[in-house]
Amino acid sequence: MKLKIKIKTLIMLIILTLFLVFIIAPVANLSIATYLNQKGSDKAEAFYNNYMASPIRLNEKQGLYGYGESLIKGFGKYKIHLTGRGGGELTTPEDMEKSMESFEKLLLKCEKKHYKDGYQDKYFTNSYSKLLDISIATLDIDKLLYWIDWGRDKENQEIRYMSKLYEAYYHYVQKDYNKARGILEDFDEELDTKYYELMGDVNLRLGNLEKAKEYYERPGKNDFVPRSSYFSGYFGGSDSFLAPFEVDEYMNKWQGDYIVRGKVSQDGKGLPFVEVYLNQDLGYFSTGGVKPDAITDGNGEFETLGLKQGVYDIGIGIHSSQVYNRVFLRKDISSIEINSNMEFDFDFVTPMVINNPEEKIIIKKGESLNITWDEIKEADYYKVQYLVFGNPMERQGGLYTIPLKDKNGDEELKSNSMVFNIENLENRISAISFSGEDEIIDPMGIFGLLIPNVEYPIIVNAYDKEDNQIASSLTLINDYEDIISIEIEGNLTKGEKLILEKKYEEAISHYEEKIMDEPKDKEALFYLVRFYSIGWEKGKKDISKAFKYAEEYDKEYNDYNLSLEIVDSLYNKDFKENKDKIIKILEETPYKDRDAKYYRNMAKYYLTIGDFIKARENLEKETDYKSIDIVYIDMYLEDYKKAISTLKGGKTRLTKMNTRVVIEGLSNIENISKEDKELFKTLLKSGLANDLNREEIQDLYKNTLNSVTSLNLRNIIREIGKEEYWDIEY
Amino acid sequence: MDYKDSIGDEIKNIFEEETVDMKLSTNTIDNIMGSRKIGLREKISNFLNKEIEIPLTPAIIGFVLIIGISIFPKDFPTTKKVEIMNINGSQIIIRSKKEVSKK
Repeated sequence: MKLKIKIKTLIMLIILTLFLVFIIAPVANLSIATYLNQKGSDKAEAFYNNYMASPIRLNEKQGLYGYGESLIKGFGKYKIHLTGRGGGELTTPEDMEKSMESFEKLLLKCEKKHYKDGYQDKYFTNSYSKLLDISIATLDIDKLLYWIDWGRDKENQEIRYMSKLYEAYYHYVQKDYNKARGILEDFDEELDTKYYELMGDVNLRLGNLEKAKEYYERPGKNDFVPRSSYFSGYFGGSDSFLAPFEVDEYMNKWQGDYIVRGKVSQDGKGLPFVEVYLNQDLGYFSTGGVKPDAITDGNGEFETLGLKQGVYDIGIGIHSSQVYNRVFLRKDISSIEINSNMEFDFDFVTPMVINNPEEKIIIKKGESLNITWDEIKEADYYKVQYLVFGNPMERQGGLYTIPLKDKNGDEELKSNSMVFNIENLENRISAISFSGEDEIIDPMGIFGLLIPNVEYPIIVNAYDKEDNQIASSLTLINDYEDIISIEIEGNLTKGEKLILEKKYEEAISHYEEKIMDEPKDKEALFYLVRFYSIGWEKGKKDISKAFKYAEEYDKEYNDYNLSLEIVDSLYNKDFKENKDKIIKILEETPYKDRDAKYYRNMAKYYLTIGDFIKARENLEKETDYKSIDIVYIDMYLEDYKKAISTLKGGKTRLTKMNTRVVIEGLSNIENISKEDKELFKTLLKSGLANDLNREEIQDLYKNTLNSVTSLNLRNIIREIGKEEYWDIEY
Repeated sequence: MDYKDSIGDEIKNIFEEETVDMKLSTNTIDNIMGSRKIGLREKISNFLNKEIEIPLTPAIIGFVLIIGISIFPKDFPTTKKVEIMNINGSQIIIRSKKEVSKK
């Protein structure tokens, strides 16, 4: 269909289209971007980008400001505690940089207009506020001083106020509290929460407790009218300030005598503006706004006020954009005990570089790959691991690390290179995960190896003589696509394809038929052992068949690992029913292969037969984190002092237990009644021996809790219940 | 003295009298109009009033596309799935699903 149109009409239409494209579309882009930004959608950034790319931008200031805001996403802190880490938004360093540029551009643009004294442009003042906060969030003390200086003599009154306020904050962080107070006292009108929070902090540090309380409480008063939105939130953009009901508790926290000092550093260089937190709720930390107990100064050093004696979790908060390129050296402890002044440092290092391969590499089956990385001076050995999904096809089902061994079968490598050959991979069960209501196993749980045509990112860690990790190629936050990976070229067998497609029943039939024709077929034996020991679906496994095929495999290929893997995969009833076979397998394991997993299984065996002393001996041999079972055994054997000592050592693998409560309880347990003791021991025995199903142990736990008369004992039992998840109904 | 062009006017009057009944054919008129010198303004006007045919459907589609491309960012329709997984105390961000080739 054709349309007759005069040329002049066509020209009008073209002009209209150009008007729509260059004038209306940018306005629409900006409106959509603003709306999405308000809703917190990450699509706002794309619309802002579109707007900024337009040659005509009528509301450039609004665009620049919104764009800058959308890139930051938020100022929430990424928290690193002894018991866990997380929080914050995923702002990349690049986005933070772009955001800063956007606000700087806006500031310059506004300045060119020469605003007269008293004129307020919200974008001008808001951008300045953002730049100050970004300087703090990006740990850049020089930048903060630059912006403070920039705003000092500006005609705009709000700019001058902000400059002064942040200057006071700078002096507070530098521990020059008198100077900070002097600057703050110079303000002559009501300000906002930021001002009062800082004034409270300064007075607290100077020992003026009543004044500090007054200032903390001021924003909560009915007659308080905030000056403006420029001064909302705390410095560095965080939302960590005290609510009125929190003031007393916070003031009370500092009634002790013990100071914690320390340093937060990267490769030895101090990091300023890092928040430090201490709390006594072990196993819990808030990823939201929490008032810091200290902030690092220009040298990266911090110092708290006087804390009371007790067991604490200590942690730091840092903006997420600052952890992309840092490796955190974690300490193998889950708490610190404060009963004197103490020092505690947080160390970051620059990530190790994997030199070869430089990027994703595809290797053929049978080929070797030489993996090399930066040498670390203090390293005693290195470990190389690969990452694998439970279901690599869908990239789902959990993400696991599997160690790589070199051609000699060594996992701990003394030099900064390894020659890797796929033929050297051990057939270890790993990366087990289940999906769906029927709990169908994900393919990697059956494979346990590198399979062809799947990408495997690799990471390298360095350790010192005390087995402490001192470097890694994996930073705190990583993009999966940025991690160097390897891929094996090759073909899957028919059975393997069926496994990858999760057609397990077909795969089992295929391998059973193969075994009928070739009883010693390695692949068939291997996968059948896997299927029958782990199970391919809820309720579908056959341990006796698994042992049968494993025995054939061991005999034929002189590789006992498959049998060991069966032992490791067994729980409760299955473990008990096969304990004779299990001890035979464990006793035949060569000494050189008796690792932490071996000792855990030995301990499990002894717990099953009720020999708690031998079980404890084997649990002691775990070289990294100790199992909490050691503590339960000590409690059962009534060696409460040993239990307390183990808990205080901080090297016990814990999730939810508040060790302070348990330690306190155990310290006062000697006088409990005989009946209480027996009830407690019955509960401990069942928990250790794992001879009850979940419902039964939960019932036992509740009955014991309700029956014991000693309050101390009840507290201990409650903490054990939390740790073992007996207090949760599924 | 009046320098009026009386002869010119006289000639014009005589011409008008003599030609009042004279009718020119369409062809003659066209020839006369066609071979006369046309001014710029008339040229532009003629051009602007010229009619052309444009295919309607492609024109509409093209217009909608241009407006669409101007407003919507190029990667707007794609849903970026972001998953975060924890491993060894680090967070791994998986931004989009990748196809794994099967051989």
